[in-house]
Amino acid sequence: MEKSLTTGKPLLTVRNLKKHFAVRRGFFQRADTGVRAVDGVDLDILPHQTMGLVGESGCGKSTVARLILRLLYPDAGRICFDGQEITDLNERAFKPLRKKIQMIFQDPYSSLNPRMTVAQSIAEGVRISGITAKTDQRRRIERLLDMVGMPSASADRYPHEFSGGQRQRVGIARALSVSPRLILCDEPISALDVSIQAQIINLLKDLQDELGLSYLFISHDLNVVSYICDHVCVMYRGRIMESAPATALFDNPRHPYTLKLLSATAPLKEEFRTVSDVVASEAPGGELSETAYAEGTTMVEVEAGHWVRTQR
Amino acid sequence: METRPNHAQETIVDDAYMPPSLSPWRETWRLLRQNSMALIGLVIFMFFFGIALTGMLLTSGDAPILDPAQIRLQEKLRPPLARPNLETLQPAEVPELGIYLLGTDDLGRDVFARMLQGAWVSLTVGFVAVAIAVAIGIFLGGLSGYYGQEYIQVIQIVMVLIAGVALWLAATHAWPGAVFLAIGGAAGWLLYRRYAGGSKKSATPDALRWLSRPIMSVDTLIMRLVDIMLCFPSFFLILTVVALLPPSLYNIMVVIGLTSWMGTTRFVRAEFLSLREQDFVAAARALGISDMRIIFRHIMPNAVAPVLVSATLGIASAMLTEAGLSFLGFGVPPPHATWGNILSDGKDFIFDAPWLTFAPGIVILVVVLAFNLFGEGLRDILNPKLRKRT
Repeated sequence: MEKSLTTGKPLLTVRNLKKHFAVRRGFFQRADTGVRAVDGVDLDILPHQTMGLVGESGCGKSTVARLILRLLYPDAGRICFDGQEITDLNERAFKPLRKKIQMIFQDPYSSLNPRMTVAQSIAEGVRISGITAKTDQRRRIERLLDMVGMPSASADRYPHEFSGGQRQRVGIARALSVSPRLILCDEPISALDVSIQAQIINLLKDLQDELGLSYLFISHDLNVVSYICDHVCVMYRGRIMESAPATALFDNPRHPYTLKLLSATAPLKEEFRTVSDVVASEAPGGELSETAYAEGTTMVEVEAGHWVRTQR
Repeated sequence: METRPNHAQETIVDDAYMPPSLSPWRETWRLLRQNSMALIGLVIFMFFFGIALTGMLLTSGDAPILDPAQIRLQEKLRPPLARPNLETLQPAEVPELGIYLLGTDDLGRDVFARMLQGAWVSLTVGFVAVAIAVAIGIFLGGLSGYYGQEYIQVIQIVMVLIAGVALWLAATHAWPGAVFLAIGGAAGWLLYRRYAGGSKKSATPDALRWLSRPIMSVDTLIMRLVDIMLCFPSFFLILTVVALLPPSLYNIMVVIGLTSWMGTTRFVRAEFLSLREQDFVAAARALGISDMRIIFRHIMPNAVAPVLVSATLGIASAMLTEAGLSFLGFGVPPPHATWGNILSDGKDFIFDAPWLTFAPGIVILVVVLAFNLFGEGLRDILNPKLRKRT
């Protein structure tokens, strides 16, 4: 599985993406400056690759995914999919592109309609993808269920009859139903049992090999990210702090926030345990606090493809 | 390195291990059978439904089998289960059953026949009024819940006013004015869309910018309308309207329906607000499914539970309202019997002929109680917290 061979033009390019949520308060509902959920994010997702997006809760990871899918509208910035700018498209013009980008959700309990059978849920996508005859739809649904490792007997059952992992598989089948090229995985495993997590991750990897998918893999679980991702972006307060190939990021983290994140999770490597003390001196900005880095304006390329936000 | 065969191993469930399939409706029925109060309510309701239906068949038409309007002055105020005095009655006047099951009233009319006729009135008033209320409630509540954050612009209000005046002119047969307004309004709307309503704000001329100013959100408009409607004491509102309209069964149904949609609207809005944020709606939008399909196919089936409950309770209260109106003499006009006016006629003879008051009174009590029990039971059953998660 040599992924570096497939590099080339990025499938999805995000430039300076911004989304601020106005917070209204007071009697006259004055709009304050609000929450800067996403504050200038740049991403490049290459074909057949997995881009990891990590960060603490509330740092704007999920908002990025929702902005790409246009479940929310950005305040500023550009999003290009496959060379086509999609930011200013109206809903009708964007509709054909919806088939190309799909999403897998965090909570498998709320991501499936409880009043629809599995087949009905998947059929919504199959219908959109242009298969109209009922028998053809049925065949496609059973094929999709087989791809995600569900028996075809599960088609006519309701979501409440399945476990979380099984529901997540159905959610993946629904996302695959329109033959997308990019799947945004919004913490797809964080609501699952640890034993099930590995199965879903392996399923995602297999599907990537089989169908040539690209993933934007949003997570706060660094172990999983290091396992599945080719490239990782660390996000903090709506901005990218460090962006690097997965191996470079985990072997040689440069940004203090990245180090902090790595030391906060169960460590993969021994040296991260004591890393918080050495952070300040080793980092490219000298002795700077974490917040100062977050305020930093420029990204510096410290190695090939390894970008770090600094104060200068 | 993961390879294809891994799927087969990961397939956690074999067909043999799956429990039998349970659809949401069958699950509901299972829970209903465990809730004895709700089940009693349902049984009484089905029984009452059957009685009302047969009653309608038996008491309507030119020559009904049980004639609720047959006056027999020589047989007035006979107690329940009394036998008719065959010597004093014309052959046509003899009741078909050969017995006055619930006695006779002060004009010698068979109370049982009148109760049957009244059952049908109560049933139709209950169902039609609630159907109207629920239809309005689902429409306004859905609008408010799904599109609530959209803002209404000045131009839209102007257009609605123009359309309203045009319709009013058309209704009063002032055709030239109506046609002029309709064409003028349409032309104005098209011009506005062409020159001012575009997506780019800079293209709008300054002089027209006020037209696209947002006034209030859809949600504000609808929910404040609900608040205003709730300010009126509804029974007196109904009394006033009914007093102004010619008395008829249909007017009563419509008026009760038009004054009882507010609760349903609030329920539906609340359901829509919470459901539209669920991931399955986001997934549907990501697939590019149209708004209408999302509303009716994805959200609505999940929002019917509280509507069903409030509709069941609403039927009971509509029946009570109708009985109250009839009791006060504003209901269905007299020769036609309803439970309310049987009660009203009977109150003058409450010591001489208590069955005239007790028969409709007890039946109203039992039926309304049954509906309330069923509604409450339904609320418990449809509560997702009580559902068994497998």
